[in-house]
Amino acid sequence: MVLSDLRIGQCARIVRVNGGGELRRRLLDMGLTPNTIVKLVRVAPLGDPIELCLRGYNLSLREEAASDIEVELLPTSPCVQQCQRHGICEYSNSTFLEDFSVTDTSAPHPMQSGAVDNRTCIHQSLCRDQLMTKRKRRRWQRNR
Amino acid sequence: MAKESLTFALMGNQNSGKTTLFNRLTGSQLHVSNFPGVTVERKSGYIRDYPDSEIVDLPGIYSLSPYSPEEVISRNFLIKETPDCILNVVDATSLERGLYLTLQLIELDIPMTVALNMIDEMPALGRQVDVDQLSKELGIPVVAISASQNEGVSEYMRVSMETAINGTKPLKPDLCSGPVHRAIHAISVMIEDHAEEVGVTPRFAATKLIEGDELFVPELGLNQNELEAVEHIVVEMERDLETDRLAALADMRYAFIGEVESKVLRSKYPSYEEAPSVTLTLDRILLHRWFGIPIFLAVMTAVSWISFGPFGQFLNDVFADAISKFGEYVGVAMSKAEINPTIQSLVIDGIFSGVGSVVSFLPMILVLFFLLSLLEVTGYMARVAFIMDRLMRKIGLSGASIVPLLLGFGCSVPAVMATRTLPSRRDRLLTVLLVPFMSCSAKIPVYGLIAAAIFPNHVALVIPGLYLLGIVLGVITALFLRRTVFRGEASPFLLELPPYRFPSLTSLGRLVKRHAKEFMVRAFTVILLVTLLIWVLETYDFRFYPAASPESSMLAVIASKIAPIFAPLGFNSTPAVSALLAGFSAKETIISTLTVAISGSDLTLTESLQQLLTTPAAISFLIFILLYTPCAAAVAVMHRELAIRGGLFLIVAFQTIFAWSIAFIAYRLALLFGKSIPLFLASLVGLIALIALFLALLKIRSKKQHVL
Repeated sequence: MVLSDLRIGQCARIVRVNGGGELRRRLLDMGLTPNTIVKLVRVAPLGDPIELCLRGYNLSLREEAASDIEVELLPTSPCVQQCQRHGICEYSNSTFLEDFSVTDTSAPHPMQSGAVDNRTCIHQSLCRDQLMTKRKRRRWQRNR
Repeated sequence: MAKESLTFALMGNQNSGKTTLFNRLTGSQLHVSNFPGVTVERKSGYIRDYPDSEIVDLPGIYSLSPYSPEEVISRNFLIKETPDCILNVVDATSLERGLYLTLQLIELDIPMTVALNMIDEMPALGRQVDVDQLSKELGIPVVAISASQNEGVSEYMRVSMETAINGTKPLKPDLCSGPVHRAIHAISVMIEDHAEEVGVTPRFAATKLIEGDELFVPELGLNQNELEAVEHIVVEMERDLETDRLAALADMRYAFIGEVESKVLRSKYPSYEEAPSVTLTLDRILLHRWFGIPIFLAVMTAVSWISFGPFGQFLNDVFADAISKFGEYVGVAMSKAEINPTIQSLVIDGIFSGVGSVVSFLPMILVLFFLLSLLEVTGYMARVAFIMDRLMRKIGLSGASIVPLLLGFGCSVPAVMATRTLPSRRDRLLTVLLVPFMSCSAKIPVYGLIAAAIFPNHVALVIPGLYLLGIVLGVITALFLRRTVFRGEASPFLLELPPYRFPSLTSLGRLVKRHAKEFMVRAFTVILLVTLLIWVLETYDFRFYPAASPESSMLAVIASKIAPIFAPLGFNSTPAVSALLAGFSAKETIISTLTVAISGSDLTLTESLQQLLTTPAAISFLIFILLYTPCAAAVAVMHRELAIRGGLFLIVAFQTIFAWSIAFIAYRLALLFGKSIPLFLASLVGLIALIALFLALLKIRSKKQHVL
């Protein structure tokens, strides 16, 4: 799968940057290195440059360049990704929100407390309230 | 060891706020905006609190690679003129990318401090940085600042002065690990003496050798054996890592940054997730799939309507009234004082009617300039590039070219300079050649005056119509050039979309003030001189006696010699031709020359203009002015940027011949259609432009079903 195959809102992990010359060099310089997680934020009105969010900033590039970047799709649940990013739970396609038991709201984030269990990794306020809005969740559940 | 004077180099990513910091430090008022890459030339100034210290504002770059001219400028400055201290500005809101450059700068082993800028925006993004920890991890002083709010700036300067005076080099020059580390070390040891000859650290040289830097490697002067040995080491490294050299280096740096970041940054949202913010909401609307382009067109229409519509007109009338009142007052005062009539004529007919008519358009120009700057400073311009990239590509350019072109509506000179941020020479050349088609604001007075005299009811239609005509012809030219001279694809388009930022009114105010000042300076130097020259040419004949009749003056004689060329265009009268001649020095002088040349008669300016130009002739005259050779300053800058033999001649001749042909066609058409021409032509041009745009959109849409 390549970056240009992503749909809006999907996240992916970069596997390899193909192509060559100046473009490739620039892509690497801008932080599109292997293992970086990127999200396709939007597509320009005329359908071509796409906007990515990565490394805390937004970058636009052409589909042509995006098709040189091999990626691995991540499941769209922001929650699961949040956990992956903190290295808390292993990525697998079958891991979904319901599989996690929600920890106490008042407890510190598992990453901070150091108490990490791959089944209890979601800080309620972080996940439920902010990352997954009701609408998003309903859509996500429907998609399942 | 304290040196007499210290030099600081301001380095950082594009749009990280270097120029804002520069302004804070020096009190100078450079152009600051919210579009990546506005500083195209290096600028320097003296630090306010430390008057002996010079600070050089270098162009914003993402890496020390050798691709764009800015990167080369910055790199050469660092290597060849080794500053006492690098002031590295890092945008705290995109920390990782900023640190990527920081790591490369550390390799140079020059004293350096980091200004962690825009720290005030972090809470809104749900992020927090441990500055002390960051400083420890990087081995260089880090100070959190907010250049726009003036927080932490003096503290930062204090730390930087200390670093520069003590010459404290980065504590940890070795920020790598694994096979890359081994390769870098092996090569460093081998080429140590070469690196010293060039005056860089062996480590930096080794990195560049691994990267295969085409510009730097030859400078090192390695022999064949050494090059082969380097290649061998690199191939070994590639085999160990199962990746190629460039990816390995970038990956090594980003891996290190990731490690640092996990220790210093607390973030509520993952780095690939946008925090709910104004930017996110605004982008949903402004970059909307269906509304994005209509909004852009609406914005541009609003900009031109505000500048040239009733509002701009009103401002101009007020201003022009004031000037003419003042002129009358001076005239009366001078006759009372019984001053030499020649001097009186010089002041009233020469200076007041000439310079005054130009200066009266100042409000209109400032409004346009203010609005364009507003778009740039807030960050909308970068979005325009994003929206328009697809279309710009059709004419062989990238979205980034839209910025110079839009700036071209202000003044061609900065527009041409702004093309330097474009990554490839091909794009730069093509954009430079298109800039003259974007009608610059100096032409507003000309359009305004002639349109008001000849088409009093259609001013707000004629002026935008001319702009549109310029754009349409520019597009056609670009398509033509693309098929012939500039074959090949536009350069890669990689553009950061910065967060929307509230423009600080003071910096906008400064910007407009500076522009107003530049305009006034021009008005009172170039235009004044030309006006005086024209006045002399107008009043005297070749023997320097006062001309007996207007026909015997020098200007009239010269103009009448050239005039037949313009006969087919309908404006072969002497004043019109001499105005065009004067227009080469600066477009504003067209109008001052016209006014001086026809002010002898008893008629008002409007009446004389009506007498001078028939309606069809006025159309062809306006179109000729729109398209003929850019002013001397613009031609000079274009010549420098094009850097091709005969560039000067090419621009002047091409534009003039082109203008002549189009004006000729327009004149003949106008003669054919008779009375209702202004409306007809303006609407025709508008219609053509809209149809062209619509077709382009339709074609793109049908060709490609895009995702979601």
